Amino acid sequence: MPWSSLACLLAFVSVFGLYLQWKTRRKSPLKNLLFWTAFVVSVYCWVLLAGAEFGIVYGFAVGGLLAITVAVATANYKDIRADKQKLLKNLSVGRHVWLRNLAYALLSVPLAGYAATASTTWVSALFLGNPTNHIVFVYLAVPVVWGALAFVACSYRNIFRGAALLGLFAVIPTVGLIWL
Amino acid sequence: MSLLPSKTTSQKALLSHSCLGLAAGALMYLICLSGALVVLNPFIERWEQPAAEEYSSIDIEKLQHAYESALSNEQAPANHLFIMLPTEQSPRAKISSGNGSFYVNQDGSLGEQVSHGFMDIITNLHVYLHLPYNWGMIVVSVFGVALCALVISGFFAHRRLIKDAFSFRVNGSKSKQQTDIHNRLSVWLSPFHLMFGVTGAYFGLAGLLATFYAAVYFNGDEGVVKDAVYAAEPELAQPIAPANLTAAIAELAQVAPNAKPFYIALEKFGTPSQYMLIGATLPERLIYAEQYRFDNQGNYLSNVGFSDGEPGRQAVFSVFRLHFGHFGPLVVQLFYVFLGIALCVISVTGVNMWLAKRSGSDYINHLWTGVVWGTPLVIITCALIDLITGFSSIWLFWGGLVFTLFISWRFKDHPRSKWLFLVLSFILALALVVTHAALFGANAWRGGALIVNISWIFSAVCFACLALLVIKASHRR
Repeated sequence: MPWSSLACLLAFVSVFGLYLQWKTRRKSPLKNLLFWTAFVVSVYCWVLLAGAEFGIVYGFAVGGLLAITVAVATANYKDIRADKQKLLKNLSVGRHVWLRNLAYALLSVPLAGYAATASTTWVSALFLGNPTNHIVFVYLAVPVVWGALAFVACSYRNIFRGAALLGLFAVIPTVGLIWL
Repeated sequence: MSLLPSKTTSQKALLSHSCLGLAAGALMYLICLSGALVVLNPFIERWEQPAAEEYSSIDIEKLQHAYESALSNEQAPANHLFIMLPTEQSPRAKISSGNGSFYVNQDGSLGEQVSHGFMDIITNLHVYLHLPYNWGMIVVSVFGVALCALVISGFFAHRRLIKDAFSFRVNGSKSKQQTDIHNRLSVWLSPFHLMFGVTGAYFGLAGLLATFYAAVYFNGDEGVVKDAVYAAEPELAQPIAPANLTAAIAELAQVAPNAKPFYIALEKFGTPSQYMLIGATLPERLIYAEQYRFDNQGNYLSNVGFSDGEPGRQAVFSVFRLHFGHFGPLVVQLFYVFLGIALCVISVTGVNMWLAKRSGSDYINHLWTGVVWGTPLVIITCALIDLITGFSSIWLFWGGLVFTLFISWRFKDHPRSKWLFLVLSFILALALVVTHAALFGANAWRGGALIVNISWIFSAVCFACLALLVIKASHRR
């Protein structure tokens, strides 16, 4: 059996098994572990077939697609009218909310950008190794750290508290960088 | 111990998620939709000029002849020359220099001029939102960062992640329906969404980060950072003469027998330091290319080390293919198109969830309908106008989008405007295929053009189905 067929079969067993576990609401840690192991083995089969780099992409792609297919195939076609009353009870959300969100994002995202760049550059210097790897680490880690900091800052109802937190995140590594 | 975030953390994350999502929603949608089309770039370029000669390989002597013809045609001194060799996805060679880009016929003569008006609009929308290039790249990269933030905050906000892992209530209330579509697509495809965020942010932020890194560690010398990542350029001093491509390609076959060359770039073109870079793919490697350097006579100098250098250097040159899905068989590109459309759906349903919480509807609902359903219509219109008249402009795109927003706002009935845009998209997508077939005859039904025409027909069918669903929903109301 070619590796690709085995990989697809294992991915299907894994996703369908997890779906059945979810559907029956019976929690069996052993079965869960078994199905997740099947998924890992399916990714490994892809790695054997196409090399580590492509294999991981293919493995995750097949797993994700199968999960969505199972969700769509088992969709709950409930009548829309049943929920109409609930919908009317929803609180009114004013249009100013959108403007407030925009203002939050415009304030926090640039601040988070500086904080992420300074902190990641500082942390990268603490590692031993080659400058090439340091720089590329900064290139690829900054977006994630930036995103995480923007998320933390925007999670405060009072944006100034979020901004203060980001300021702190920016000051410490800046001092570290100057000291370096 | 539960791995799930606490209720307070989850509520805070939801606040942050909606804050960033609502701020980024519309432009994120444009970036994702154009990105889904950019995945098909090699095929759409072939669709735009289907008459250009196609072949799987070209004799290198003929290519040398084409290169020398391009050199003799140079009217103004150029600072670069780039030769694209035929590949599986784009089976036609082309030469780009100061005079423009030309396809190369298999006999070595120069063919028609390369002109991708429609694809340029879409690519530039995705890469820099039609803003000034450098600033636009940074703005789009910040949306990559926003995508990372949304993926992270989405996980913290979703306390029912496991309970709802396969839940899909298609015909529930509008709010539940949109929530399920949003959550299922975003959770199961999240590794790819995070990858898009990181790699997308890299393209525009690399320059800024290099400046910062150089200022901190190398007294502002950005050259050191550039050399550390992309390797220093060779220093040569040789008589100015045409490069010997034939010798270089023959030498490459000896140096790296597994390498499949797909481009040749002449760096420091027309100077005594001129050298050749031959970019080649390697089996089982995601890197865009390993670059092999040759002097003017075709003598091998070195490779840059994207395949066997420091892990950082290998990682940085894998970003392009990973982001755009330009690897593997056609099914990989189709999967990437699906990923792009899934991100569009996630952006749209995210905003729809917020709209569904509001009582009644106002201009925000109308304008949002204009953005979501007007954009595909405007893209198809741009393609049709470019096909018929050869005219393409970013103003056509933005003017069209403003027009759809105006129509949507004037109608003050978003299901009706949605239906109108869908029907028009359906008609124009079919008109696009018919016009293409009328203009190019048999060429419209082969190779890349065939794939794109089938995609337009498939899109038209989807628009028709969605229009029918709108009618069905309005009858139910």
